[in-house]
Amino acid sequence: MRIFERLFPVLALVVPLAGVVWTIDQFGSAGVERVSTEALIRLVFAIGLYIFAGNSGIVSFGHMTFCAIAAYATAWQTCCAMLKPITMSGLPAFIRDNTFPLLPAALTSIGLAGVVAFTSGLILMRLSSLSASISTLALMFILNVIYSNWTTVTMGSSTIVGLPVYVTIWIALGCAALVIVIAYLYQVSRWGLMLRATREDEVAAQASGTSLYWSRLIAFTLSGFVAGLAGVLFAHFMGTVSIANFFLNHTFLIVAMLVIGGMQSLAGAVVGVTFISVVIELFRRAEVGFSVGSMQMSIPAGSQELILAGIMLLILIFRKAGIMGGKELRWPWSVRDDGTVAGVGQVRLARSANCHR
Amino acid sequence: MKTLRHLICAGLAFALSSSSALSQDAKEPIKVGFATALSGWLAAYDEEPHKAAVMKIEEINKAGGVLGRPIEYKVLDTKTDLTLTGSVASELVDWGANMLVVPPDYDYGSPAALVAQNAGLIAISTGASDPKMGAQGVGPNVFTAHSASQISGITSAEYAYDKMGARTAYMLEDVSIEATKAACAGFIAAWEKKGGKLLGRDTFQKEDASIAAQVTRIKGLETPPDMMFLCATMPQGPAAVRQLRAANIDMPIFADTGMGGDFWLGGVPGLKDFYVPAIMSIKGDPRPEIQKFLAAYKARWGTLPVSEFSVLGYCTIEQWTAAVEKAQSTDTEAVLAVMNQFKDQPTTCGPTSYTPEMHIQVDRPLLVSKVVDGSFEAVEIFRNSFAPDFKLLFRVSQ
Repeated sequence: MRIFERLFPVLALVVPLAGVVWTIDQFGSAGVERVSTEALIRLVFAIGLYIFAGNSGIVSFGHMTFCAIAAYATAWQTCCAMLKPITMSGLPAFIRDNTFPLLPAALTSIGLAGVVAFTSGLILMRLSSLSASISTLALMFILNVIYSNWTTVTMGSSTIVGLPVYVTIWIALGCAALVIVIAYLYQVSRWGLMLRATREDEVAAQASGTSLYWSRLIAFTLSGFVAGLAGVLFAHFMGTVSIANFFLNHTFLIVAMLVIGGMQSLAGAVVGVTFISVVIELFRRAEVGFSVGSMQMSIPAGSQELILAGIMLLILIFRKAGIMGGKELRWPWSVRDDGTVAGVGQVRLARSANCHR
Repeated sequence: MKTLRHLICAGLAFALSSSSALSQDAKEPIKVGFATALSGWLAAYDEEPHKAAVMKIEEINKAGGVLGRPIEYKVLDTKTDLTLTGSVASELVDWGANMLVVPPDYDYGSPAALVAQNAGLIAISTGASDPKMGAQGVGPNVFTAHSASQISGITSAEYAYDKMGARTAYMLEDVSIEATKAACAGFIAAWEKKGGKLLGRDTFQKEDASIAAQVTRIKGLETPPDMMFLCATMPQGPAAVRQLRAANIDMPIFADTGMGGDFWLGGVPGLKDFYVPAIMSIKGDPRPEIQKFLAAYKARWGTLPVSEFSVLGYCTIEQWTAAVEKAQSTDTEAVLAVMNQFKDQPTTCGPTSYTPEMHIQVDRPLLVSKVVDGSFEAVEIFRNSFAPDFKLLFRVSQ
């Protein structure tokens, strides 16, 4: 029972997700399934972002960088054997002339994203919070300029088409569940708790012997790996890779999802992505038109974006800390036993102390 | 837009009610899915071809349909969003589309085309000018109704050499856009093939507000060239033309297809000796089929199209239904076999040819137009004789 209680915050997220996916798989149309798969991939990315931003309190605008790096890396390895030597002639010969199996390609691509996150983190994590935020944005700009001009390797701003499409809704769900578990295990681990402590009070955390630099770097690297996974999923879901897709639009959408859900908890990330994805899809369908009885109804084109913005504003006005308000879903019948969840308890205490300040 | 949506809704409702009532008698309709950018920046290029395609479907239905079956269509907005483009395409596949019409741009059309390819359907882009929207790129089921970007360069080179006696040329290239770079590649290849002499070439970027340095270098040439090819498009193109003419560089200038259209000519008063190889001319096109198309468009939508690309949407439906008629089936394999053998198949846009390898037009005649008194005037229809090979189409050595 106790283990169930400990794992409840994860189960409470994964089980409903699996239920929804099962329903969609059984009864939904191909369109709904595709949109849901995309939402799950966004969820993987959002959780990657959460691992760093949620735990450290530093919003990163640059995680699309790792997504793009992994997506391009897997495209180089698995895409278009016929066209590759012509359009991506600048690739090293062994990549250009060979096509690699999907799983090793995915793993090396995720690895590359993680390595880049670690290397860039070595420098960026020395900066203090707001500077670190902006520097991640700079990182994304650097990558964007390089990849959209490195024509012989990335095809410049043109789209790479023809990656094998293997990401089904179940694969996306599996990956989402995996990263939820990873994120949870990390946030209740020693390093996760230390990072959360720095988020609540940098000075106190440092005074207690926590290294700001290392605790942030570890989270940044881990989230780089997860963002890389999202990139691979995205590439093999779309079948196309284009640098335009890994830029500001997508970044801000996912950051907005995190903020709406509640940046400071894993449940917030999941709820935010789900909620915004549902709103977008619902009103997009309303734009296309639907029938009530014999009446055909539709809302004017472009109103989906307006409604989305309006809903976001309302939530931010009335629930400043997001829908979940920074809380995890908890076992509702638990008798508080500080022995088992001491660490989490402390952080919660620290936060409530912070609130009362 | 609203009227269009109402019409579609009404059409669908009618189709639904009639199919339920007459399901035994009526033949099953042929379904065409449109993944179309009705909002976002691509809408400026997609809306008119789309309207033209809808018009063609209505004409076909009025004349009794294809294979005796009416055509039903469904439109979903891609919002110029890469991911959504793929999603709406799969929704259309799910709806039971027999073929997909996808946006007129390689980058923003390929996600939809790929969905069609993977679902075993034919996809035709109304206006992609990149050969990657075809057999070697997205896949063997994917076509584009447009000519390759290189063709406007090739046509300019051959027309200037053959018809205007130009022997020396200069080339000014906007290197920030793929299509204009392709047009320049086509010009160089055809000009060298003709035996013309290239006195020099220069580049600029869309960020460059002034091309004074480039102008100085042209002025510094020992002998002024007989003509200049300017591969640029909106909005950099007109600025470049103004600066060239202001510096008294007055040789004939040929420009890329995207520079057609009268709307920018007010910015360069008194412009002359300026040529553009265009798909068609909205006013004064010499071809009766284009005149007919324009009149029908105006009658259907209340106004003439603004862009010359509009007619490509009309031809998209025209060529696919022609192939369906010939194949006597909407089956992808059968239609594909017919389309791959199109050799100068007559369409409103001009003769259309495909081969299993080449799914883009490489020698469709273009209408060479010239600026006279502040507007473009058709000069003549010109068909290039030099056909680009794959190396040139994919710009391998660039």
